[in-house]
Amino acid sequence: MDPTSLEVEDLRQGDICMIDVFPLWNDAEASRIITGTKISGLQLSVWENISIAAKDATKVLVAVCSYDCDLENPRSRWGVALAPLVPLASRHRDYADLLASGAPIDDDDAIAFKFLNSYPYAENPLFVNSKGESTAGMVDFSAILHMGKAKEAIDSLRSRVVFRLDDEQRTNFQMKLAMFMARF
Amino acid sequence: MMKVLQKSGAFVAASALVMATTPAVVADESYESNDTHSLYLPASFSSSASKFNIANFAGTISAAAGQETPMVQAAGDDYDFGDPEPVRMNRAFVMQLVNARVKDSGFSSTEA
Repeated sequence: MDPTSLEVEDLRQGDICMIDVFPLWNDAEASRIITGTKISGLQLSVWENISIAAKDATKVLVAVCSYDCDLENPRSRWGVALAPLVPLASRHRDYADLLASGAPIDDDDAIAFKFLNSYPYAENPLFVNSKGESTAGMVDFSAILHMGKAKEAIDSLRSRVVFRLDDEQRTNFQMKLAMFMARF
Repeated sequence: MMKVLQKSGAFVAASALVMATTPAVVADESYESNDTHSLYLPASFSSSASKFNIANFAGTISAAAGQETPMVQAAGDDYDFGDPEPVRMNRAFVMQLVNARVKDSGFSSTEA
């Protein structure tokens, strides 16, 4: 167990974890590593604009986006879906609306969310920006990538949880992500 | 001897990573080539202590010309977090999406 992380028994959706680096898969700029005639790898850039763990400035923060049942049952799953926690500056023009966008807007038979492709985390001394300042953050669902393999990644991430949503927030996270993925 | 072709600055990051994780690496200055975009590594190059899988590195790295820098994400003040207009979806459908996952997976919460 990393001494700077929470002591949790299991990994949950919405958990904020610290990892070494989050890749940026920009296909137009990803160099191909060619062995013979076969592409055997990609050289990816990394996210620069990502929140940093206050307790370990060498680590960046990501949110677990896989659903709890997938985390409990990694069998036949390739990996764990992660998205970057992007710092939300208090000067951002939509700061208040963004922070409030994690709660659904009740509308009779409908559920509605603003800023559907991201989920907010309030300012927290555990999250810092590149200047070392405490910051709020937005998880950008549009940047989800998988870390594999599932079981190994779950075991590793479980020891790196630095923040956990409460049950109501986690339900909102689930609904917003489900709507983000299911629009048509 | 492994030969790694460099066609853009993109490779700089990769080479920096390799150098950082394998401090024993030194350039083989005895190798002569007219290819100014190539980096030659000695045959003794080892990946045993590296996070970078050198087995995948024994070839050519190619990149599109003119793409010297990685994509830059907007700074915090300007980051585009999406559309402030609310997106609505039928409540029953959303709850079906959220709740159906365990049923559809066929797993119970205790199954390993």
